[in-house]
Formats: sequence, C-alpha cells, structure tokens
Amino acid sequence: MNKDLSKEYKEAVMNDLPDLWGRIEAAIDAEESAKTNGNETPGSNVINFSKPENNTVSSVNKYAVNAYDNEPVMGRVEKKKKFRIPAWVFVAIPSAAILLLVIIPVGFLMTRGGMGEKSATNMAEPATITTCAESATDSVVYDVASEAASSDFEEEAEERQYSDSAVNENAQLTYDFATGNEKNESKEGIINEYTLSSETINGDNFSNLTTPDAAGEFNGIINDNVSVKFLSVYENDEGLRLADVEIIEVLGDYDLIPADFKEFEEGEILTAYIPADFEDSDLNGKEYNCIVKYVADDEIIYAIEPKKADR
Amino acid sequence: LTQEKFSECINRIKNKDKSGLKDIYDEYLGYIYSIIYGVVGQRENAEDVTQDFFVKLYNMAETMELKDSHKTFLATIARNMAIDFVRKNSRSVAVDDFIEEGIEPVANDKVEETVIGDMTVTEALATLSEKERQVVSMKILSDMTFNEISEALGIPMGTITWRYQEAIKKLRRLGYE
Repeated sequence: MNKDLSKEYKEAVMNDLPDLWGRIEAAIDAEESAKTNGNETPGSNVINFSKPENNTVSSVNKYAVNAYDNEPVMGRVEKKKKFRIPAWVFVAIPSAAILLLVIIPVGFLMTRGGMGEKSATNMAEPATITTCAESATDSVVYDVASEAASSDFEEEAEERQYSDSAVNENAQLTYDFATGNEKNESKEGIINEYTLSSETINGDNFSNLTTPDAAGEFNGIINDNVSVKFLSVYENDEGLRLADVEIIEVLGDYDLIPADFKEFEEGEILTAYIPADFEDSDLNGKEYNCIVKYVADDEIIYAIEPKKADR
Repeated sequence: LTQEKFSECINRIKNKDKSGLKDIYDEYLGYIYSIIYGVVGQRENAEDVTQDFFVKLYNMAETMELKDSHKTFLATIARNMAIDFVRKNSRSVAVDDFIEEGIEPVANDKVEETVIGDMTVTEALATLSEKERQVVSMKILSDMTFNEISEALGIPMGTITWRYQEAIKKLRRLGYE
C-alpha cells in the first residue's frame, strides 16, 4: 500500500505545531516599550547605561529564547536583565588608553622632530644648487648644454634634471632662494636649461601629441628631428597606438637626455607610442621625420610624433 | 480567512490591536510554520523565524498594501525570511551537517528489511541524509521550485534535482509516493 508522502509530511508537521503566541506578544511588547522609551533599535545589543531597564528588555536575543522553552516568556525577559560586560571591553579600553596617552603623543613628537630635520635639509639643498650655479657663472659657462661646460657640472645637472621628482623640488626651491639675489638672472637662466618647466611639458610642443593619458607623462623632447621608418603599427591591451620604428638618421640635436639613455643609432629599432590623431592608412614601411619624446614611469619610454611638415 | 476578513485584521493591527494579529496567527500558524520549517529544517530555528515573521507582520501592517492573494503574500514573506535565515546561518548549518553525517545512514538492504507498513513519515524521512531531507522539505512543505531551492541554498540545480530524486527513490522503497 502506497502512502502519500506530501500529505503525511504536512500532517506530521501540523500535528507538532508549537505555541508561539506568548513569545510573539512579548517580542511586540518589548519592541513597543523600547520605541516609547527612546529610539532604540528593537533587539539590538546597543547598551545605554542611562536606561538600564529598557535596554535589558530590548536587548533580548530572540534566538536565545529557545534555551528557555519551558519557562514563561516574561520570565525569560527578566533573566536578561543581568547585564554582562562583553570581554572585548577589557581589552579595548586599556588599548585605547595606551594609544591616547603614549602612542599618539610620541608619534606627534617624532613627527615634529622629523619636520625640523626636513626643513633644515631644505635650507641646505638650495645653497648647494646655488653654489653649483655660481661656479658655472664664475667659469663663464652660461650655455651649460654646450660641450664646453665642465663634466662635473653636467653630471650634477643631469642628476637634478632626470633622476626623480625630488629634483624638481630642488629646482623650485632654487627659484625661491634666488629671488632678490644679485645673480638671480644668470642662475635662472642656467637652471632653466636643466629643468623642465611646466610650460615645456604642457606647451605647444605637446599639444599635438594625443596619446592617451595612460601612456604616462611626457617629460620632454629627446630629439626634435629623427628620421624613422615605420615597421609595424598596432594597439596594446589598453587601446593605445604603438609602433615599432627603425632609426634611419638623427637629424636634430638632443634636447633632453634621460638618465639611462644612450644616443640613437642608425638601424636601432624603438617601440614608441604614436599619436591617436595621426591618420595614415598604411604607415608600414613609410619614413617620417619625427619628434621623439620621453615618457617617464612607463614600460615604453618613447613617444614619437611626426613633424607637422611631414604629416 | 477571506480577503475581507484578512484586511479587517490588518486594520485592527494598524490600530495597535493585537487581536488582529492573533486571528491571523490562529488561522495561518500551521501554514507559515510548515513553510519555514521546510526551509530551515530544524524545529527550534523554525520557531524563531516564525516568531519573527509574525512580529514583522505586525510592524509592517501600517504600510501594507495587498494587491494579490494575502495567502500568497504571507507565504512569500515567510519563505524569504526562512531563506535569509539559512543564508545567515550557513556556517552553523554546515556544522549540523557534519554532525549529521557522523550518524550512519540506514543501509539500503536494511531498509528493504524494514516492515514498511510500520514506518511513519518521520521515520521514513530519518532514513534520508540531512541534505536530501532539506531538499524534500523545501519542495514539499515550502512548495518551492528546484530553481528556488537552488538559489536559496547556493547549490547547482542539477545537484538539487539529483538529491531530490535519490530521496524519492529511498522513500518509495518505504512505501511513500
């Protein structure tokens, strides 16, 4: 004889129904009393020390009630009035006290000490640069880009120019420091030779280069006239246009020399970003006279832009 | 309860009269409890969620707007609350499963030997694994589809249907269709 599973199962559950009305009523009462005595969240464990009675009622954990199934509902609520301080309080309060009394003051003092040192350093650095500039002035070498400049001076200048962003800070400090100085003009002239000003970076030289931002910051022109042959043009994963180009001839002078840079050689193959707006149906195999620019902080360090006359 | 009677109960609740809720409770406790029990699968937890359900109904009465059948509406809320509970307590459920799996299930050959006529539905369900019982309960008591069960438990639907079929096979041997 087959039995109806669905019917019998439902009947079995129905025959064993719990009486929950007392619990439901108590829970509603607890919520309402919590609401009338303040805007506390029903059932929350937030403890308000100013209202201990209300809070103990509102903090009844409804899922814990099962443990007392045989007891009257209100009795259960009363039991919860014994408030226990959570264990984490004993750790958190001393930790907070230590933090406030020891770590923060010490940290503050150390920070102040550090700042003092830093300001002292900042004062010293411009002086060094000024000395350098002065020595250059004394030896009547104003055109520091020329080969006549002393090798020491060149090295120092290159370091300041290309090594890192701190260099620019130094340059800026030098401007400030030099203000009002009687050799102000000559120093600025020298420094300008070695420092990429914001005008250079954002100026006309770069306005046509529309390589997306992801290509990095253009830190300057390496050479403004290099004849290159396009070997292949493609896009990288980020949708930036790249080209492999062969150096045919270096026609212009080197303007900017990155720290790890060696001069281009004929036949050398570079991978470089190319402008997005440089439209030529088939660049492959064509030769252009290009401006080669330096891209800092990027895997690909070159960007080439065909000279306007050639486009 | 008719729709009118149910609306009248809701109106009483809106006036903070708990008797409206009591009438709904008396009428639908079994229906709601079995839906919740089907999902939760454990008596104590089912009681807790059922309690929450009626408290929630009391609190939401003020903003309640019934368009469809109130019975379907109540079933949907109950089922969702039970599913939420299972999801929130999945860790403890997993522990229960582990304990349950420590109990050796009744072997098939022993099932065959059992006197079929003597076995109650509770005993028959006890021969299933906890996971099989959960699917059967959700399907039969909570009236959920396999897809709903799959989503509620976060288990592929193929697994759910397979468990259900395995469970039904075992129950058939015990005389349940």
